[in-house]
Amino acid sequence: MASHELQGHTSDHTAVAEGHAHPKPKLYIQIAVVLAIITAVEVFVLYLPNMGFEGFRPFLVPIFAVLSIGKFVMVVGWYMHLKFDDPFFLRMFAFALLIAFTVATAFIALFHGIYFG
Amino acid sequence: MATAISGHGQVLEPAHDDGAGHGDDHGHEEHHASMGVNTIKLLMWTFIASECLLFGTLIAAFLAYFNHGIGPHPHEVYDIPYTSVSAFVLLLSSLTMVLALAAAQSNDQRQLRIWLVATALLGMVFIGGQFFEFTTFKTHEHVWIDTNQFGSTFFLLTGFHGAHVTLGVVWLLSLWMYSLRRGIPPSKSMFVEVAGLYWHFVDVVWIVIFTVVYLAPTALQH
Repeated sequence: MASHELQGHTSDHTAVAEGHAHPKPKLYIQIAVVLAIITAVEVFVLYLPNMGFEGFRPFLVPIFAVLSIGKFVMVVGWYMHLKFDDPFFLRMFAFALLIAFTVATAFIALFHGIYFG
Repeated sequence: MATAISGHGQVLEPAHDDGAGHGDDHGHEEHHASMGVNTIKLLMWTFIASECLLFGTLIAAFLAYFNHGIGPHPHEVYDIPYTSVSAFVLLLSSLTMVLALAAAQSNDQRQLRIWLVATALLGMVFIGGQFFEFTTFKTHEHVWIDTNQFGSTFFLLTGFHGAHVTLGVVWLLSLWMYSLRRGIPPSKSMFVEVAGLYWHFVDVVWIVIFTVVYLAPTALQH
C-alpha cells in the first residue's frame, strides 16, 4: 500500500480516535436545554404529591432514577464524547461503574441485613 | 511514511517520531499507548474510573446511614429549590466547558478564553452556593459533620464533591492563564479536552448526588 493511501485510510479513524469528530456547538446547546428541562421536571415531580397527586408518591424514586440516568447518559455520551471516542474508554468507564455499583449495593445489603444464599 | 496501524485502523505512532512521542507533523504533541489511544486521555479515564469507586462508596455510606439515629433528617433541612439552582449552574458550566473545547479545536482563542473563564466562574458560583448551604445547615438547622449519621455522611460526600469542583476551578483558571500567555492551538486542544473530562465527571457525580442524596430521601420521607 502506498504511503499516501495509508495516510488517507487512517485520517478519518484518527479523527474519531483522537476525538476531533465532536458534535457542533449547536448540538451542545440543545443538549444543555434538554438537561435543564429534565432537572426542572425532577423538581416539579417531587412536589406533585403536595399538589394533590398523592398517588404519584410510590413512583417518585423510579421516575427520578430514569430521569437522572437520562441526564447521566447525555453528559457522558456527548459532553464527555464517549459516543464518539475509542470504545476502549467506554468499556473502561462501564467496568468502573459496574464495580462501584456492585460494591455500593453489597454494602447497603449487608448494612440492612439482607443476605443471599 | 512509517505509520503503524492498529487492528481497527487507528494510528499507533506518529510519522517521524523522535522517540519521545513528538511527531513532526503539524506540531502534534499527542502520545499514544500500545492499544492506539491517547495516553493523556487514558490517564484521565483511569483517574475517573478510580473516582467512580470513591464516590460510589461515599454514596453507599450515605444511603446506609442517612435515616438512622437522632435527627434532624434530610427532609427537615433540605431546600430543594435552592439546590436545584446549584444543579442548573453546574449543568450550565458543562455547556460552557464543551464550548471552550470547540473553540480550542477551531483555534478561536478569544472564545476559548471567554468560555474557560465562564466555566470557572460558574464553578465558583456553585462552590459559593455550597458554602452558603453548609453554613445554613450549621447555623439554622444545627446539622454539622459530628451531629448525627446523616450529617457525617452528607458533609463527607458533598464536601468531597465540593473539593473536586474547587480543584477543577483552579485547573480551568490555570488553563485560562496559559492561554493568555501562550495561546492553546488546536494541536494542544487535548489539554482542554482532558480538563473538560474532569469537569464533566464532576458534573455527572452531581447529577447522581442531586437525585440520590437530595431528591430520593425527600420523596421517601415527606
